[in-house]
Amino acid sequence: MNPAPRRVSRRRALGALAGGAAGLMVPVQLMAQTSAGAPRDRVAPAGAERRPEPPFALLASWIRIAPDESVVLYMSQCEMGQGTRTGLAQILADELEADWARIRIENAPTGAPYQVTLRGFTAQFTAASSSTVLLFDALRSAGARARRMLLAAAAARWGVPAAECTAAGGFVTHAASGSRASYGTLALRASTLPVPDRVELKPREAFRFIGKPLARLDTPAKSDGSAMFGIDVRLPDMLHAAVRHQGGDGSGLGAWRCVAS
Amino acid sequence: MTNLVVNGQPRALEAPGEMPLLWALRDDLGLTGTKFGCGAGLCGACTVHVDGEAVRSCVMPLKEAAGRRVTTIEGLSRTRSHPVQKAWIAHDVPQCGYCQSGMIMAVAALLAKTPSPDDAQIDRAITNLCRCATYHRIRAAIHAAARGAHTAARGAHTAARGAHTAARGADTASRSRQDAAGSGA
Repeated sequence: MNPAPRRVSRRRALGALAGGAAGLMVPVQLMAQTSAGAPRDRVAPAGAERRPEPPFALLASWIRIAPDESVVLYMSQCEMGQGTRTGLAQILADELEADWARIRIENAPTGAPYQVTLRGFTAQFTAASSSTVLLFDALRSAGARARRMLLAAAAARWGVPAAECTAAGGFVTHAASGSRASYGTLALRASTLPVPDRVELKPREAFRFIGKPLARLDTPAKSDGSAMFGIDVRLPDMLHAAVRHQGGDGSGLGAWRCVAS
Repeated sequence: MTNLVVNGQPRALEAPGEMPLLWALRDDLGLTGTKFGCGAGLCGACTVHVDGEAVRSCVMPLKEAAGRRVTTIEGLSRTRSHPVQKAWIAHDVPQCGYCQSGMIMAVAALLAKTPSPDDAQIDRAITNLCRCATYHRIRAAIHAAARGAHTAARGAHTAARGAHTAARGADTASRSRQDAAGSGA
């Protein structure tokens, strides 16, 4: 009954990227907002935005689209109940033109690629209500890049220009020929294509999930006991520690010994 | 050795009889859906059913559960199909979620005895604490579970949320009562 802790190691993620697991896994260069003054083009021009290559700190994350049509977002941010991960998934799914019902979130490993910078402080953190602000642009770009690769894979399969193909709801469609293919069936081919350097982002009036009230992705697991909290993590040979507070106001540490317990 | 039935399965536990049932469930049986909260029977995060009654497993010695049937959140249903779970999902009740296993178990025990509780009955029976203060959604979900309204599509939570917001002011008073009841338990 008790679910085994789901741990996605960096090694496993990289293994999947290298072809150990079938599917499109996009190593996306994500842009983190840097200190004040970093260029952020917030002005949406008519039509799509065109985004300059950022001089921002680089972080990496992965989208994995598998042949079973699942879309997995490896999430570097903790969910502490504010709906952060659902919100980030909405951002990702929007540019990706994903089927919302297929979106799943898994924990990203820890590591330098997930560090973000806020007001000069660089670390992998979930703090200061910063997750959405720091990742908004990055996840839109990630979703758009993956979508472009899926469009290119479909266009190559059908021998039509990618510009004539459209993506929506987890499918790529070529209206003129009546062709239609799901992301899952395109993922393997898409994974062999180059990751686009530049992507155009949709204007906000075309947002499909961003700003829309959607059911939270973490609610089912929080309703059957399967949600993992820190206290639930079990690792081999794991030791437990607890803080022993001082006895009273003004008291301090007298001496300590380091012995096996 | 303590013999008991956990989620329908006979179990024999070597743990000391004085060990809290909660520790045996979490650490010996790996049933981590039930949470450690205060360790003093106050907050209700550790609520499980023992012979159908909601109990706070952090203050029940394992030996008291000997020969009895224990149900944890993992055993409430296999597919989140219990009416309370359906209502919880339909109303997007949890915020951080830490207290919700205990909350759901307490509510399931309440509805088994009192199928259509009014607000006063809910306040008396559900003294579990939720520090995210999701009480307004908890109450709405309890009523929904009682009505069977959970069968409505999950998308209905959006409309329900607006109604919750309107009811939030009225909930503040009852939340204070719940807190008082919880700390006095």
